This record gives sequence, C-alpha cells and structure tokens, in this order.
Amino acid sequence: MADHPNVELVRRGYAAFGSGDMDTLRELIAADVVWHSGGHNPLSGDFEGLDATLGLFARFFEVTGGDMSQELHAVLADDEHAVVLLKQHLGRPDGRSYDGNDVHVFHIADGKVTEFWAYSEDEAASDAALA
Amino acid sequence: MADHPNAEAARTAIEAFAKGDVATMAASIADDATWHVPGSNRFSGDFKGGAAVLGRFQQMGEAGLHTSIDEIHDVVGGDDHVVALVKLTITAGDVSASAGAVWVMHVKDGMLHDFWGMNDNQAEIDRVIG
Repeated sequence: MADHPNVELVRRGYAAFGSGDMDTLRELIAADVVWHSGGHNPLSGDFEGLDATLGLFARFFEVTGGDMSQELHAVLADDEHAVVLLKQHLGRPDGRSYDGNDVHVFHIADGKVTEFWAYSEDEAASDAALA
Repeated sequence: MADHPNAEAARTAIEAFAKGDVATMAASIADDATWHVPGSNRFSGDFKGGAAVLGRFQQMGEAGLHTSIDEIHDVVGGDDHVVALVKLTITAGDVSASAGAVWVMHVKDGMLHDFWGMNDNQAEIDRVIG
C-alpha cells in the first residue's frame, strides 16, 4: 500500500526538528497543540500551545547541548494518527546519555499535529539521563 | 484511506483478547512469536513461542489478575508493523491501575509475531501486579 499522507507530514517534521527549521515546525504543528512529554523528569509534562511546545524543543536542545538524534525505524499512519517507532539518542554534556527505542504518537487533523504523546521502552533510563 | 490489512488482523486479535476469546487469540499468535512485556513485575520479560505467550495470559488469570481493555482507541498498520493505542485497567482483588498503552506488533500474513508493550503508568501497574 502507498504511504498515507500523514506519514509524509511527520517525516517532514522530524527532518525540520533535526535541522532546527522552526518555520516548518510552525507550519506542521497546530497553534492549540497539546504536547505530552513522557516520563518523570524536568522535561516531562503537558505543554499547551505551539509556543510552549517550541519552548520545550529549545529546552531539549539546551540540556543536550544539541547532542540529540532520532533514527526513524518505521512511520505508520491512518487518517487520525501517525505513529513513529524510533531510536532516540540523548547526550548530556556531563557524559550521561540515553539510547533507546521510543514510540511517538501524533494526533493529526487538517494537516497539522494537534496532540502528541511519547512512550519509552525504558522510561527509567530516559528519566535518569534527563534528571 | 482504508485500514491496512495488518491493522485489521491485529484488531481481530485485540478484540478477542478484550472478550477473553482464547481460541481466536491462539489462532492469531504465530508459533514463533515473542512477547516483550514491559515493567518489573512477575509477568514482565520476554516470552518466546506462542505457547509461552498464551501460557502467560493463563497464569495471570490463575494469579487473580484481570486485564480489561477499556478502549481500543486506534489500530494503525503498515506493511511490517501495527501499533495499537489502547486504554487498559489491571485489577488484582480490590486494587487496580489504569494506563494508556502502546502495543507495537510485527504482523505477517495475518499473524502476530513480535510484540512490544509500553505503558504510560508502568510503576503503578508493577505495584498492582506485584
């Protein structure tokens, strides 16, 4: 089967995130988005609105010093959701790091991301790297 | 767009699990299936082979643990993977824990092979299961 259009949408989003292309992220994420950042660490929680969400992205860049990458393993989508299976890498300037399998779930409406949830295969390890 | 055929196969298995229809579940899980179950409770870990996977479900029942599927929010499929977004509650006697769960499955020819589960409330689920 051909890829669902929502597959292309989230792939563009990861490319934009990886290159710090905030204009494209602003185009792809709804103004009233709700971003559920998983885990129990200082970057966890619910971020409401595009500005708060882009602010969270900036915090991730800040705490990792830019040592952060996502290798997409699979991107699945239907009319409402896109699901991304990925290898997440987060490094900290003090030497801590997290490398694990994560799942990102996007709710998509009218070509924009309206809600996001993140799951980690090893939440404790991710929390330890971000504490 | 219509659901991917792999999503339909996975949905059939999940609906069977929700209803306790063991025969349909057994017919959906491949002999070489491996179930990667998250957390740090007595039913966590890797269960290899269809018999071990079904045996785990049976042992949980015998231990007085009941898993109810509160909502199958969506089942999203591709050519190799299916991801189900579900809400579930695990009950042991008079204690219970609810979680949003993501189930990642390898599906081939209508059969479930590998399974990975992730819960957004793992610590509490571990506490209820023990």
